[in-house]
Amino acid sequence: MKRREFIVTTSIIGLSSALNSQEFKSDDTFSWLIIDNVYDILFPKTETMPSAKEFNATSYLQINSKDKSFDEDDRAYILQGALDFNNAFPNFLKLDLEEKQNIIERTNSSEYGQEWLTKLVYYGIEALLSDPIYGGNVNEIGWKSLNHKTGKPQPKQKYAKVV
Amino acid sequence: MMKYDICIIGSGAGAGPIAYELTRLGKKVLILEKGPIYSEKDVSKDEIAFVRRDIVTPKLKDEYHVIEEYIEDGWYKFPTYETGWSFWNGNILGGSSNFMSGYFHRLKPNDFKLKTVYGNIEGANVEDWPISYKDMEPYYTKVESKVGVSGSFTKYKHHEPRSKKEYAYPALEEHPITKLFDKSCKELKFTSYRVPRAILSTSKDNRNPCYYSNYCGSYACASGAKGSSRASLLVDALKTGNLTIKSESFVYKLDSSKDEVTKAYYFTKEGNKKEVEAKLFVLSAQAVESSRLLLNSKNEFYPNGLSNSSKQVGKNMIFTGGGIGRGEFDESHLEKDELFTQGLFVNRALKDWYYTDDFKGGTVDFLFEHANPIRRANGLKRDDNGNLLYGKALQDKLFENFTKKRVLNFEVFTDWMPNDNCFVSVDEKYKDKYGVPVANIRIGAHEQDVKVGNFLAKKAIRVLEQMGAKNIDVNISPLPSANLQAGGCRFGDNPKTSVLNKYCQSHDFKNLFVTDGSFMPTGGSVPHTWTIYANSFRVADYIKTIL
Repeated sequence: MKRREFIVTTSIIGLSSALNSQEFKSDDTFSWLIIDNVYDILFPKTETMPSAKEFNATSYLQINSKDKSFDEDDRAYILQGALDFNNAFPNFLKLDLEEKQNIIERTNSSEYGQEWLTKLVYYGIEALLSDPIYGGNVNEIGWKSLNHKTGKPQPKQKYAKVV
Repeated sequence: MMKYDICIIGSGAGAGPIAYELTRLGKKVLILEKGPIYSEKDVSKDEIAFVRRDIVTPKLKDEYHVIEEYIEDGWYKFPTYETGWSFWNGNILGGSSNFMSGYFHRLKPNDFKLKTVYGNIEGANVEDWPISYKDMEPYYTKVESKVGVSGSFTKYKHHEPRSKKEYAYPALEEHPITKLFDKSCKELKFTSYRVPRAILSTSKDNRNPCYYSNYCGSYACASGAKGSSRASLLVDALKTGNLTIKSESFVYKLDSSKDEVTKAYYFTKEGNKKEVEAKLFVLSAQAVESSRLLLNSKNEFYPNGLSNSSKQVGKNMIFTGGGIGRGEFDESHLEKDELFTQGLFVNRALKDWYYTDDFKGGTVDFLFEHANPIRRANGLKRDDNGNLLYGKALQDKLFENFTKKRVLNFEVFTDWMPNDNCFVSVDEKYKDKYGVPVANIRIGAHEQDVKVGNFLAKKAIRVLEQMGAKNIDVNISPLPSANLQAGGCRFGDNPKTSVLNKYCQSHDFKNLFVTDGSFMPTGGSVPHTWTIYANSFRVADYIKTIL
């Protein structure tokens, strides 16, 4: 129900599809490409904060969403959401920054669209502020930007694995 | 098959003192702990592992609870794997005591006789305890030295009697904002109560003192300073050679004859079924799970579950009532270096209204917002209308909140009024991955809890206003504190209305004890942990006389 609402309300822009998402169903590469481009809008570089690229948002999510401790429903939802997003905005990847921002704003105004973006923002925050051992927060760039001092000791193993 | 003297189910605050005391007497003690063993070297301040993922608690899809909430016209069941509202609090050796903040408050004499002092409140099931504060006082004192409590005495009108004026360990170092707090309280003629903590300020045996990591509550301690059951008691118990710990062993059923509990059945990590025999069993799996186990242990002699002749198992569950509030501080209040000093504690509370002339009041603890940056940032991702923020607006909001202000929180603790709509049951329709019925928790709260919570919150807000805090906010709620559980196996003198006698020994079986918070008919207006530790030492002394 919510997913349909997202597709209907966000596809009225009606741009022609340059990239057929069906071709990418066998693996998630295309979904990750979409997510990577969306992250550029969600976490842009500012005077004080690093960009999603700088703190490895997409790569963080790609790697950590495969761990058994990750919510598998979240992973499926995020990846499917990317395909639905592409169905609604098939030319997204080709657009310039301002046009992409407009589309994200439009997506954020639909219930399903906002839910999907909310998941991405949450995991973007994880990438920004988790210990660098997980692959985000490169060289502690997130902590340094926010003057955050982490607690010691830092993890030597991911997911508190006992060795 | 080896027959142990004592089999303890669980290893938290209710279990540690039993193991510590009885192994020292040469008794062979077995602990069956549901989770794995972590020592100081295995823990870190990793927010992903210890806060954001189900690593030290079960994955909710595998093992969950069902929460029964009242919605408009009736009670509806919500499995926690759907809501994410976890009622697990630490399935590792030492249990949830590993992750506590260690705000330690004793109960007070009137907490043991609330019904006598204030009478029952309509719709609540308040009962006096079968013991008095005097019975418990020596054990509170024992916890101060054995588990380790650091603090300095605050004189105020409701202070409970103490056999030793000073705490076993000196107070922890305090954050500069406490000066502003103390000054504001003085101006308001409120008592600024200095809160003792179950955290060592100086070393003790092999435990190192607190190193002020700034990542305390929700994290296991890497120095051994925090008084977890594992660090403070089980390590010493192991040294006797009389303690065996079987980790990753989930006890799903106890068996009995008509007269005594005979066996505990458990699943290993690999899912294999095993059983163990002991002369005496101590159940301490945290209140919800302890009731669940007894209810799931019905047999031909006891069709309603073990120790349930009174049909009171699972009834009158209690949590702590209240809620939280906040106020913001910036460079207009303190020099930046002072304000952003990390790791030092606030350790202040208001307790002037623990009792009022008309009703039982409670406690308000003050503390800085937990360090957890992911949780803090996640709380900033929406605008005032609840819409998602992203892009520069989100980035700017994160920067402003992290670098220019600090949030001082307060937590209100009121007595959770025991009532007929707060209980644990089991339902064959809801089972975990092992096929064992999970605990259903009905979470009905009495209106008194919110009334008292609001009363106390107003006092806390006055302090924040006097301090000059900005953007003060408060949320008093009837929802339970999932991490502070008690009740379900009340102790009392009457076997028809209580599950346990005054020694926390089952009325039905002389060889079954329950020593987590389950025994408590009322919880006091404080976190329960100190009382659970103290009571477990008290019960251990009794077990010594019968084993």
